[in-house]
Amino acid sequence: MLLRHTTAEIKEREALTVNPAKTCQPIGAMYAALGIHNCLPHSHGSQGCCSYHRSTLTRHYKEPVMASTSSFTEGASVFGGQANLLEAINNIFNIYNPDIIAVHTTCLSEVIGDDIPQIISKAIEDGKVPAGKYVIHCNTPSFVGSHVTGFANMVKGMVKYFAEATGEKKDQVNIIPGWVEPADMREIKRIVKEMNVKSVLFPDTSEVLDAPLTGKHQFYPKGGVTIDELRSTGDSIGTIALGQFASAPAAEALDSKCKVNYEVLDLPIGLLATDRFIDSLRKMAGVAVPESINVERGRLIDVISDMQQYFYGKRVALFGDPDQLIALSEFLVTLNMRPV
Amino acid sequence: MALEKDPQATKEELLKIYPTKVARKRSKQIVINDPEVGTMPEINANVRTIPGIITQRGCTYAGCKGVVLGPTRDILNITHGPIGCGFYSWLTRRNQTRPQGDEDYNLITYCFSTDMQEDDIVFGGEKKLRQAIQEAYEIFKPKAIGIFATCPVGLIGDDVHAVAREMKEKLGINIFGFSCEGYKGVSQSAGHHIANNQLFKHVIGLDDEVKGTSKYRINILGEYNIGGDAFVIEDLLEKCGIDLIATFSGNSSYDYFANAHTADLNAVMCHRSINYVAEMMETKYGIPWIKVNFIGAESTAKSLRKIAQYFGDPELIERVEKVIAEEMLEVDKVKNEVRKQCEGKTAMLFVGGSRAHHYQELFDEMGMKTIAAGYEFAHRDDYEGRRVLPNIKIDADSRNIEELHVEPDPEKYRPRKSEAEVEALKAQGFGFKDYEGMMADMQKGTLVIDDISHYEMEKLIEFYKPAVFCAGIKEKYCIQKMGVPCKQLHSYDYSGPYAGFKGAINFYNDINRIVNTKIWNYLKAPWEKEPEITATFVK
Repeated sequence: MLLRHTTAEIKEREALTVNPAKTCQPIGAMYAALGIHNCLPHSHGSQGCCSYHRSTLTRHYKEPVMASTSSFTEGASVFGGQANLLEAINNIFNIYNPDIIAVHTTCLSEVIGDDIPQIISKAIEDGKVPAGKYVIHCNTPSFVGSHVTGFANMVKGMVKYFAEATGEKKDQVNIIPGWVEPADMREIKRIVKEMNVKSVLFPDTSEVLDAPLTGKHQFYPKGGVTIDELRSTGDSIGTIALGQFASAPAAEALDSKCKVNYEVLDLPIGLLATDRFIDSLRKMAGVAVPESINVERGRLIDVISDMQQYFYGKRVALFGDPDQLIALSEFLVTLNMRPV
Repeated sequence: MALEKDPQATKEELLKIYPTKVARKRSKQIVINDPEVGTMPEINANVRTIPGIITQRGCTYAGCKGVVLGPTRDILNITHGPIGCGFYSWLTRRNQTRPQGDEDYNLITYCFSTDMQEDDIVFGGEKKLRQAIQEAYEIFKPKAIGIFATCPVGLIGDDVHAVAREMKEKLGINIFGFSCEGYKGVSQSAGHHIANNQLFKHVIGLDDEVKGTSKYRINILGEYNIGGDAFVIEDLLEKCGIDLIATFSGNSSYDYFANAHTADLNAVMCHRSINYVAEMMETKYGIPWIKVNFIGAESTAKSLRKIAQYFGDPELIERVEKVIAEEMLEVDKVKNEVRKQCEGKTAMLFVGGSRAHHYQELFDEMGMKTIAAGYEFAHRDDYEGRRVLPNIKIDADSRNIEELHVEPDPEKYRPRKSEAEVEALKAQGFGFKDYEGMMADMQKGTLVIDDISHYEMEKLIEFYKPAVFCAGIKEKYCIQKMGVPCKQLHSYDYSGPYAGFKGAINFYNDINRIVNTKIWNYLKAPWEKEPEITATFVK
């Protein structure tokens, strides 16, 4: 028996966590950063963090997950990690030459209080950041929130560093897809394109974490949102943030910074949430919903009604992240299933 | 076919892109091998990782909780820290275990953490830790509880040892802490050392009862039962009539650890992670240790023979020979088949602190050449052999890892072999605490690289196009994107066992398959190979 020590009656626990349903912030920031084109995520902390996060993502996607680490030693933990980060920045641009390094912190660097923006300034002052290249950051202490918080913080960081309001509105919509799979991001883009709407999807891990095998390792794969696109988000008509937990903070920040209106919607998982997504999109962009989308929708309705008898009344146990579960629960109810 | 390239030229190419400071450091960690003792180059190892270089290494917590204590099934391991460390070491290593029955403890499938929040960081987490231990005890009733400190714990000053002592007193079970904060040392290696220290201090030697009646009683040290390796070794030893008291720590139980000092020989598989316990057990209890290697059919035979030679009993020696002869029949059959398709192909191994060496034996048996290899977190003695131990300078990062001061136990110290017996064995060529290291087993002119960076790894593959590259999960898909198969040697790519005779057969078959898989020949589409422009004239 796999979990032979789990007792039949629930025993309340206040201090001991057993079999957690979440993990810590940094991995979310790493995943989000991978959704920027030519970006190397950087973990400012002990080596273990970077190693664990890369391993977890790589196991899931069966793809390379490139990220660097500040490799803190005991000395750095006492005197501060500035020297490590400065050296890392220098080495990364020389050896791996990204366009942008996206730094996230760990409990170690947070507890010792490293001031990342100050260190980045120093790096720029010292000439360690080549012209036209960037180092951005977000604070992701592992003792606050969860992995989803880390994702949200990194996306917010993208807005803080890049979004610009030039005054010239652009005929495009920002979409923050939330912590979803590359295939989901690709599908969102497809739907948006189908509706003849121009959009900036950020972050975008499609064509990054699902790249082809060609015989050459593309260190920075084709995909990911570009820095120019990130800049342009400040001029968009509006932002659709998919997923309250993962995407709302960045949308709020963008509104604060560049006065771009936003709507927070559920992840478009399921019939009704997808309806709402498309409805919001068509209103925000001022387009009509094409017949092709109606056909897709109709096909889904068809399948659901075909399979109704197998769904009806079935009890479902759910385990996962809040954004996903909220939408999924609604979908299950739509199918007359019962999340219990 | 492997490409030929001058190793010195390769080294220069590898260093070219680095900033001066980095090039200087890496230059000492990339050496061109010479296996002869007089001319073997020195390699810099177990030194600080260069920030930003993209390393394979992990941290001290991983080496302590993940590697050494992870395979134990009946010690309840609580990670004291934010949730991540515990989460990422939860069933992420293929150390298998086999509880004795449905009622026996198996805590390996569980993850226990104090999930420290901001308040715990600001105001201290000892209260929460105490409460967590209490709850763990009430719900799970374990034999023992281990507490593992993570990065913030050392910084905020939580004293896990004090809490352990207090709760041990209160609850009446063995509770001990590990100061394995991730920033200590330079890699997983510091974690191994810390784990060894604590197991030796708190567990080994608690149960003096000599169990069973066997004349041949050994421990296997540094065998973690990845993919069932320990199961294979257990079966073999049983066939030979050798009693296995404890394995550190694959398929292990707290009870075996406590009883380990009743064995008469320690056989060390992974020198890097467990040499500390071997040395300390010899000093305190008088149990000698030898280096063995159950990876590779020939090595397995050699190791079994060596153990038999130690006990010197002709009955055991004969029985061991019989077992070897039996097992080798199937091994030779498969080996000869597989050699036809693998002879002359090349391999590279960059992994761990022991595997990069020992798996070369298996490749050798298959007729494959190892042209480059290196460890992630090993020390100079794992490369150049234990003879260099006196010359190794301990640097600032490693100086703070506790070295236990051990003395012969006034009651329990009992040298298993008299001085005369030891001399007699040595005269036969028998080696005690002998480990020659990896470089002695590699050919002259091969490349040895410590803590290889991602950049160096890609370049090596570009230059040499090996038939297979052995590394870990973080490297696997980068390597395969380059059109080269990667065999994971940490997780065995979800296969194994690879130890012993049966394991060797598995390895031969798996490598044969991975190296000769058809898909690698189909990377380019026909139109990519011959992109001629064709046109049709349409009227």
